[in-house]
Amino acid sequence: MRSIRLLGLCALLGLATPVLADHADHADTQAPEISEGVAAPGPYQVLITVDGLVCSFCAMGARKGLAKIDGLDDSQFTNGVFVDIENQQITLAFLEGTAVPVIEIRKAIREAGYEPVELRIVMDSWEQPE
Amino acid sequence: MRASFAALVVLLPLSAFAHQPVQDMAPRWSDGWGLQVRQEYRASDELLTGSSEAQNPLDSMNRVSETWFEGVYTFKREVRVTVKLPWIHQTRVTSTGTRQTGEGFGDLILAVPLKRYRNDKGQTSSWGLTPHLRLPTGGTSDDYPVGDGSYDLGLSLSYSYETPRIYLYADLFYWLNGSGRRGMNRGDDVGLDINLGLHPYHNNSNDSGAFVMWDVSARYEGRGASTVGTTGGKRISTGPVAVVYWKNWMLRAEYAWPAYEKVWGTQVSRGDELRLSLGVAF
Repeated sequence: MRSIRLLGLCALLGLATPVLADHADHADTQAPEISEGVAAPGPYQVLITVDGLVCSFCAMGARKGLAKIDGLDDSQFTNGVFVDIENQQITLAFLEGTAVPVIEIRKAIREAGYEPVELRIVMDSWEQPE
Repeated sequence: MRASFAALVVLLPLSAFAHQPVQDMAPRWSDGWGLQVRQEYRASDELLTGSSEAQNPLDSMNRVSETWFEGVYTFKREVRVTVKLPWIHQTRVTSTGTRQTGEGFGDLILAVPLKRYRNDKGQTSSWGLTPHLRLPTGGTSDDYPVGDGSYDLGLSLSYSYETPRIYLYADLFYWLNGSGRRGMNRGDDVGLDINLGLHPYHNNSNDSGAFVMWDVSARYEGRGASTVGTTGGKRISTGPVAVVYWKNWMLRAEYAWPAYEKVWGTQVSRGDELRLSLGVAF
């Protein structure tokens, strides 16, 4: 087991199959591809930058819509969802083996009245596949 | 002399509060809905002729308590529908010294706020166009009627702008007021409400926070008639607003006083106003 941190960046708008890229600090680490519908190899968090997310009360709909997504780790944050209005960012905590539901995330945020502009996937612990 | 004086005295009747549930802020999400209860209380025993205080030998006064039951449903962020219904309890003493009261549900207001949002890095803003319809559901039989029996049409243009620290809401509206029963015929009104404030506290971990704002409301109400005389005038009221929220609940408290007021004829001032509202969004 070794611990690495992977950051994947993708523009959510119009992108259905994001690919994880290496974080600059771990440029020598080979990154896996995680696509829509493909399970991640461990628990992970999705950090979404959301334009216009400046009021927690107004963002209730985003929290409500995102909390319905399958695979969230309910033991983290509030039902697996954390809203940070200072940084206009939403963090979702997913259970191990859950696929990255990019399309659902995008749909939930747009239906809540906001614009998702960037998605990052953070994995603090990842076991290199054989 | 007293009779002619009495014919001129009337009390500003209905509220034209321009804001929409829930607290002008939510729900912006599709299939969202909300409820709000707003308590308004205003009172005055100051008699005005034009903008000057007049002698008030018979202690004319006005006390109005309105409890508004409000609901909203958002089809999608661009389209929502709101409904507002007041329960009114009011008392006045006319210039002849007659004490009059009225109580009951007032006029129902339906509105369809149409919004256009713009979301940018660190800020969100919206333009809104809201047609209103006020239905004559309020009774007109009391000495001091809670309704006037007319169908009224309103249109408002609103703008909001918000960052994590700043909040602005402005609403410009016009009400075309129809002729009612018992000679009641309220003049049309034009108004502008502005809320400008700060969002000094927010806690991400439990989704709670607070806003502090300043409210300025300007009204021009055309000359009209109530059951006892002339209505209408011009006024600017202003005062502080405090808002606290926790998760999907929001509590708003505001106090306003007339910074400027000029009435047509002689009327009791609208007076100071206290408003408390509690809203929840789902």
